[in-house]
Amino acid sequence: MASLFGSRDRIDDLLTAPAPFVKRPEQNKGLLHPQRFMNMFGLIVFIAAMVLPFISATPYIISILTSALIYVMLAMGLNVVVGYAGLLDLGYVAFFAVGAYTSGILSTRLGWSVFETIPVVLLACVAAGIIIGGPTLRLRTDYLAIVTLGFGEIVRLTANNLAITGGPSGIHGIRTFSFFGWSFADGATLFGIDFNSKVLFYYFVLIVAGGLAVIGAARLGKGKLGRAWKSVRDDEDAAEAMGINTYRVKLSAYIIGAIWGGLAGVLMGSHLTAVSPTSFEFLYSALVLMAVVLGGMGSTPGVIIGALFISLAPELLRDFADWRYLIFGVLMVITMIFRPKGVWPANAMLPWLHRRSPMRSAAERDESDEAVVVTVPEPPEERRP
Amino acid sequence: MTQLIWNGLFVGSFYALVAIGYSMVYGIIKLLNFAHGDVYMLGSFTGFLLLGSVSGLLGTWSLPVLLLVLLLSMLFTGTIGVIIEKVAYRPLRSSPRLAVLITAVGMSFVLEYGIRQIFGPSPRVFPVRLAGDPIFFLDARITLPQIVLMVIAAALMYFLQRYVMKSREGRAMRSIALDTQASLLMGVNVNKVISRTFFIGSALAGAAGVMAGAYYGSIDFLMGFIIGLKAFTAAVIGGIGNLYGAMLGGLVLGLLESFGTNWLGGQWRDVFAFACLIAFLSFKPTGLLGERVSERM
Amino acid sequence: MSEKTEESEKTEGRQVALPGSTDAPTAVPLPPKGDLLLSVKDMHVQFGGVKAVDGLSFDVHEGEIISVIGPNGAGKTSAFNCITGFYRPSKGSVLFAGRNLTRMRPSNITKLGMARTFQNVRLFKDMSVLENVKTAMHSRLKENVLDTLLHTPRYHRAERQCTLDAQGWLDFVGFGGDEEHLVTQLPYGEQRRVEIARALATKPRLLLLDEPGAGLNHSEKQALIALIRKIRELGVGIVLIEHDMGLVMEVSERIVVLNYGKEIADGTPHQIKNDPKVIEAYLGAEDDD
Repeated sequence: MASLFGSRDRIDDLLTAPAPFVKRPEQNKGLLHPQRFMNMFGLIVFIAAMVLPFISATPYIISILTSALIYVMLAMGLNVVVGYAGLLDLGYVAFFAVGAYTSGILSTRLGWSVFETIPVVLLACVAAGIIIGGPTLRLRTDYLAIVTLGFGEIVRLTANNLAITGGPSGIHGIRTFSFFGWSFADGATLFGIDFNSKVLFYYFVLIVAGGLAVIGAARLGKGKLGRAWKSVRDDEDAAEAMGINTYRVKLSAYIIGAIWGGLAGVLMGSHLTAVSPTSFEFLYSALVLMAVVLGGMGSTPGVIIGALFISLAPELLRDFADWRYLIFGVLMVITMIFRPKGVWPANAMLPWLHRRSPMRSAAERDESDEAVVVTVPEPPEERRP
Repeated sequence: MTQLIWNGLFVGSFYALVAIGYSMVYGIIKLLNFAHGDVYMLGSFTGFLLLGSVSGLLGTWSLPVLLLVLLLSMLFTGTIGVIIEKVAYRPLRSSPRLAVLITAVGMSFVLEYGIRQIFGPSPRVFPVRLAGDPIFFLDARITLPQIVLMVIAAALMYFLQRYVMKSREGRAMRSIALDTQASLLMGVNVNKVISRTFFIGSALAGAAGVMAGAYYGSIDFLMGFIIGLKAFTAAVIGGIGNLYGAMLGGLVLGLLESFGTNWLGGQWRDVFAFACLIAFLSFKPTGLLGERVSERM
Repeated sequence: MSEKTEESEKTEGRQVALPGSTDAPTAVPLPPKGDLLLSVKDMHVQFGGVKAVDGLSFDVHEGEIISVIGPNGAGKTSAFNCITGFYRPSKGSVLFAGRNLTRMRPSNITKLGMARTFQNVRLFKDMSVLENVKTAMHSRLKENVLDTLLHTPRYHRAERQCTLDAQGWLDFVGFGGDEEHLVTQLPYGEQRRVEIARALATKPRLLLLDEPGAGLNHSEKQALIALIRKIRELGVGIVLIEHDMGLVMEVSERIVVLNYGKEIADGTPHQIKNDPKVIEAYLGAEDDD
């Protein structure tokens, strides 16, 4: 376990990084910078989702949209594990179960508000992530896949067998979220419009799952930890050689994934007011995995599209409801063979977007190639005299 | 006590039959054929269909008919195994491992829900139910069909062992397992050998499926999921990629389960088996018979 | 990670000489031999019954260029993997800056100041050139999960500095492509350069290059020689595995020769060129070069 904390042992640096001396084109300041464009696009989609209940707010539509958003959150969490860190987790739904059961038990048996259970859920998820990841993350990817599958089954069967989890019938009567005495169930009137508890809960889920979970996972993917995850995915040995403790980095991906999954479980328990072991079968792990794979591993827009597709397709194509799992299976095989990066690959960029305003021309690049290599400019500096 | 051992060995021989396919495929192309358990399920349903069509003969000729059905089902599942490899795994042979694993999960879905579309979601009752008067041996309750099925399983494993260890084709298999590139250079037709391996592994899983159907009497489209996981556990316990390991692992898992169930109660059976898997992978990932492979970069 | 390094980076990070600034210290042609940096003592590496390395010993000092040569299969890369922590030596020890490296994780060895490249370029394939180099700064980047989630000023500061440093290293190695491209889109020679930039970005005291010249054409090899010298001028020690004898003889100060896992010679290029054992190993073995 000592390696978990790594060695902080270091010798003073010999080198300092040289300052870049090749002139680079300016960053694109306009709206066509990919990052800015996608942020705007995301904001528009978010606002559209806010407006949706004003167009049609039947309980049915609100309910499937709420579920779809919870799927988005699950898929974003699994994307951290599979898409960023490249670890195949076939038992992801176990974390979902841990979250749902922890909050369900605390709220029904001890009478806590669901909101108050969240800190405990977080702790439980981190613990579950460490328990599952700890012994298994040293294994190779394919072993890991099956072990996580086994863990998923262990969690489901345990929930099925224990009395505290309500056995096969599960836990009923989970209340909706309430904050300091005020509950969604009370409803609210804003600007003369009445919002019932289901719509309020939809908005809450939209902000938590559709907003915070998506932005959080995407930001992590772009930061220091995200780079480390991707490096482990692409070449574990090389990552280790770059000073990245690959075990710790993989464990962190697992823990983040567990937290996302667990919080989604809290939302789901509150949404359905009940949890039972049948909601945590392997099927659901596979569905979330399909969302990630079909959409594009490691790609935020792709994963959102995938999750919406997986959760909404059966509702939109009622006639195919029976066939959906067969079709999903076929799609999964076809995707892996013909389009392994999914419908929206992680590095894809819409053709009209660019990061730098004037692209470096090919000629310019060739020139600098010659010039910089052979005639080396001033040595960048030496620390010691 | 004897009863527990006997039960363990009986269930273990099923695990062993399925585990062999897992282990052989892994040994040769380092792929966890996630759909392998579903091929076992496919075997059950094939047997179900075939037996249904000859149900008139069943009364008097039960055993020979069952054997014939077993053989035909093996041929069928073996062929399906070859097709799965050709369609789903071969195009991805040079892809990252993650891609192939995901394809295998997809393939498993295709088999499961394809069968569900044909036969419906509810369990089917097998036309034959092997039952017989028990005999008592050292306090253990043993039935004749149990003995017959174990003999069949043992015979299949014996032939397989002869084939892999003594024949030319078996030698080719072992050489690919050791070094695919070198085998290719030595003139081994790698694709053909891989197909053959899938055929054999799938045929054995199919055989186990028919036998399980005939013994337990009820089959459904998800029955392959748990056994697939168990077979993988067995393969890991024995040392994945090792033929004898798979057989031994199956029996050991059967025994562990039998004693574990007796100790903890039937509802914890699968939990106990998977806990064994995790324990083995954490503490002895090479299994009982697996060699220590130094992973070279 | 640790406060101390962060501080030292802050104070020293900006004294980098800008090109053209006159007060930059000019490079000394051959810095005096520094302190003992790496000391390999009687190292054995074994795979099953195969002895890949059978008793290798050598020292590297700061700012020194050493080549490890030998026919194919002589155990050079195994020795590298052992020094960098990827293999465990079955016997012997590796000391780096006074610390025993055996049983240390490769990442911790890198953090101590040893960087490496791989025989077959091993970049992170689905990441851009810039991201590849930035990844190497992982352990020094002062940016925790909360910073990343909340995009705190510290996050922006760290990322900006990290990008700047990565660009600096890319320019240093003479990378001439588009740094936003995926590394797989680059020609082979550029990939090699990016790999060296990535290794330098870990700020090593010792750099291990595993066949950096393989697959490069003549002019690219000349550029590589210039680059190796430039790195040495920074004070970094370099250990080189290389098959191209021209390159080895031109750049090395000392050469260690391996054959069948055994060290058969250790000396200056001139001594090695005339060593009968070395000649025999190369000519007696199946033709290699």
